[in-house]
Amino acid sequence: MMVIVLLLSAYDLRSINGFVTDAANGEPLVYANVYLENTRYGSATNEKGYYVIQNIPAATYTLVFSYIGYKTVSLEIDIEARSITKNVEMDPAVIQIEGTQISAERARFEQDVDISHITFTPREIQSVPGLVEKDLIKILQLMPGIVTMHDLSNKLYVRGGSPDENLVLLDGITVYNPSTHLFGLFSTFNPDAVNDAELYAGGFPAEYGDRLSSVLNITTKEGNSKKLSGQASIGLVTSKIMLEGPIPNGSFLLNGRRTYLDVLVWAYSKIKKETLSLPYYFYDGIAKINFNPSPENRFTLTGFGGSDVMSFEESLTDESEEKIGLEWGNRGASLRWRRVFNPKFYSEILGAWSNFLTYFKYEDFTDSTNNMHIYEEIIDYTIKCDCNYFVNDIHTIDIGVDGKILKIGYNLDVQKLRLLDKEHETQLITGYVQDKWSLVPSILFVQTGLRISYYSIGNRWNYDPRIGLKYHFQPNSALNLALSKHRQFIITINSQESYFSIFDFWRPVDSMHDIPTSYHAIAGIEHWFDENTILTFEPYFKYYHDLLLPEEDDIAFSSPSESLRIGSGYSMGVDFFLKKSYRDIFGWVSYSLGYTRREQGGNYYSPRYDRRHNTNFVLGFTIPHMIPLLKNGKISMRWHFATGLPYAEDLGRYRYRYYNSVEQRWENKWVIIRGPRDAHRLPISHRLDLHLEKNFHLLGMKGSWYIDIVNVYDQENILFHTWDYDEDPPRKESYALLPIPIPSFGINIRF
Amino acid sequence: MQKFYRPLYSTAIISILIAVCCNSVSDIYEPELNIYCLLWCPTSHYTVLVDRTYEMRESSGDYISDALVILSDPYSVDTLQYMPADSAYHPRYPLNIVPEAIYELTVIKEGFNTVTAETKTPGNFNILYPQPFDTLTVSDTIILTKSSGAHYYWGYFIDVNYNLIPFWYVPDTLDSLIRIPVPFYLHFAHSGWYDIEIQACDNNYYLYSQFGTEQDSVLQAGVTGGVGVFASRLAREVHVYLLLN
Repeated sequence: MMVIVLLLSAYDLRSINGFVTDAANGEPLVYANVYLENTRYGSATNEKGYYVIQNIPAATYTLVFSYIGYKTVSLEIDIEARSITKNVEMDPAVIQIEGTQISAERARFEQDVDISHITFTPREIQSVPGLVEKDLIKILQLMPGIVTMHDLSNKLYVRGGSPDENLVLLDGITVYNPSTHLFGLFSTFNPDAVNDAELYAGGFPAEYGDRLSSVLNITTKEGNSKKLSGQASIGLVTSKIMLEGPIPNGSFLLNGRRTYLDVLVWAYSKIKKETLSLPYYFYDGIAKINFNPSPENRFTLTGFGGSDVMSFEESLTDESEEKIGLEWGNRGASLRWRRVFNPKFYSEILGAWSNFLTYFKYEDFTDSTNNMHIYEEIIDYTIKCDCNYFVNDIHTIDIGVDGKILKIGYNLDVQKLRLLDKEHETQLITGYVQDKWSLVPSILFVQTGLRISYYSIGNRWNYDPRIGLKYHFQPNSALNLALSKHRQFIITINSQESYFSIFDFWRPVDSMHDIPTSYHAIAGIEHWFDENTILTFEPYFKYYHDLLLPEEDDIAFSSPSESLRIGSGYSMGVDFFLKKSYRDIFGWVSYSLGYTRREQGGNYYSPRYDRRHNTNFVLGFTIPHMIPLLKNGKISMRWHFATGLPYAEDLGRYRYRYYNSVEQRWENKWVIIRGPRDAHRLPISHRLDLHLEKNFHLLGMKGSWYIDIVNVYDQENILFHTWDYDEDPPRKESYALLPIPIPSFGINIRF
Repeated sequence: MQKFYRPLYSTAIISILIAVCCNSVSDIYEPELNIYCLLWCPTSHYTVLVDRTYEMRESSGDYISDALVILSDPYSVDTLQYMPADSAYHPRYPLNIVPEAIYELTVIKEGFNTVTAETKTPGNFNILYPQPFDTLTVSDTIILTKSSGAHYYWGYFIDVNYNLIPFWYVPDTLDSLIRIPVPFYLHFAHSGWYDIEIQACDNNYYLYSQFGTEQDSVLQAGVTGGVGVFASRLAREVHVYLLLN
């Protein structure tokens, strides 16, 4: 590393560099424009808020920072030295959510090879209706290429990929089971603490790997470095609190969330002297500290954790006789060191620990020989170094190495005797190089990359090339192309086609099997009709081989299965996205046409998440002044419309004659003739959700209240059918998850 | 404001396209004949039940009484006749069901595909141990000579009250003798006199007996053109005293 730095320092540098942050809270500003007035020299901040303008002749300049939604900053600078560092804080002006985003998106459109890339800000997350509780994953489900299994699903099926093919990162920490709260209905990520979320739906760059389909990279807030502030809220299911503020040379953030119904039931039970209890709760929290000992160095310590806890006590007498407990949850920590070695070169070193624990216990207080404990645990240790070298204004090289130790253990104890004790350990060492080059400035951008990985099981080396290209054939139109190869070294052994599963059971790919591999080919067009209207159109094709899939019998339940079978598959489709804002109105339309096929033993089939058409329509606006009680309130709505998912239909029935040895007679029973697993499709599903939010002032504090209504017009989207065989002919019964409109409400207080 | 309507137009167009493209698949299923016939060997008595499968929205009915049912071996043919008493087809010119012979069943019914089925009866076998009136314990092994063509041995311990305690054995191709351990669960029975009945079954019977262990399967044990079973088996019996500690 030092050799590289010294080599780079040997160049004659005359440049300006630094970080641009929000003056109100110290958060980095992404894609802010930075330029020297009346010259051709300029740049934009990257995703870390970092900018560098290079090869500037010695002179006096006016350095301008502009970002829609913020006051423009102008500084007089005199460049005589080899380089100048200018870290700038920009004050928010009149903030308009759509304006701010469009500005950043425009910069991305003009300067980045950014294919199948979706970003979200907290304001967008908060402005979309939520089912009882706001959830980041549910917001992402409104994007093109992403489908869900049902109304309550909190999993991401990205372009025909299953949820276990998505890499989920929280501040660099790999999260293995991101949607575990409330039996899989909510994700681990408290949206209040999220600064931004970016999703690569395909063709992701070489810095990311070990998953076949997509990358979800979530960055939590930095913490307000200017003043102590906080936020508290209470909703139908959880109560939340967040504190952030400055520390010497840095900032901190603390965030916590917990369900509270069990506490209310407990309190009621105590008051009334009854034995009521709600045997379930979940909680999670994030703690983050930023420390900047010097302008060149920044340390960030992040910790997060959460659990879902179930506990039952059974008794026929006054004293407990047996206790059943189940607990599962994520936890993790990371330490990140960012160092700017010189204006052209900075790096980040990350050490991270991630853990997912599932623990079941049964205790029999009357007979301890029946006691049983089962646990399964994933532990991930990662150390990673990413280096960014700005060769010149049009050329950037990223280099990184990544070492990972993964331990998966599971055991079963009965009566203090360990009946099962297994542990898998694997090491994964990865290096990547990535080159971003504007071959024809402002016209043609190419991003190439190579990811090399060593997998310790079977001592296998893997080479995964990536290439992306952006061609601006008109000032407001660009053609995007991407080709890439991806591998996944850790897989799940439970079916990804289950309607409900709380968590996955992960295992490393063993030496008997080849490593599951996918190839992505994406060709898209992005067009800006005007500054407020963006259209993207992206056809894609994804091919898989050496997939390890559970057998069909395993579909109905998420039971662990060692009987994985080798398969292959493909998915292809078109994603359409139109985003528009106009004054106080914003919205988007996303549409996906997708075909997903998997193959096992030479038989092709559509997995249960193969949704052919998927449309989302989102609209938000400020309530006009003529409505006095709600003026300046915000209304947003989301309408979802999609074709049904494939399933195996019961086609016919017949009598099966057998000898009942208990009754000692021949009897008949009805046997069902079930059709192929994908021959039928559930009916079309659609749903309208509404969100109303209004700000208020109370005792000098700002706050807001909100009301969400999910399934406004009471649509019953069929999840599955059953047959009542007690009737002749059998009667078909259909079940939906949201049989009625479901309202929820909450209050937020900011202080 | 006019520009803002663009998304609405797009949504409307997409919705129409989806609605056009999304005709749900209709339930296409053609009912078939459902046959049930197990041949005992050696005997000349057999019956055939002729049933049908039903669409899910169709009410069930009685067994079919007007089908043409033909059983044949290489030398003769029997056209069976329907007997309302047990809703089964009975032999008109009974064939002798003998070991190691091939029998074919044909069932014709207007409106359904014709069903053809074939079975080869298992070869003769003998019970070497226990011999009649021997005393047997749960640590003993029942020994048989091998029945050619038998894919499966199925048996019962039958007590004086005609309670059945089943057991089964799938032979290995390398077996020269069939050795079946006395089932451990006979520990839960009582000492006394039992009949042991052992049946050597053909592969169709094996498929039939295994049916139901997996969901969603269609029983086609030797039957083509429909569902059901056409199987054969050959039985031996011995009377023993079971001694339990």
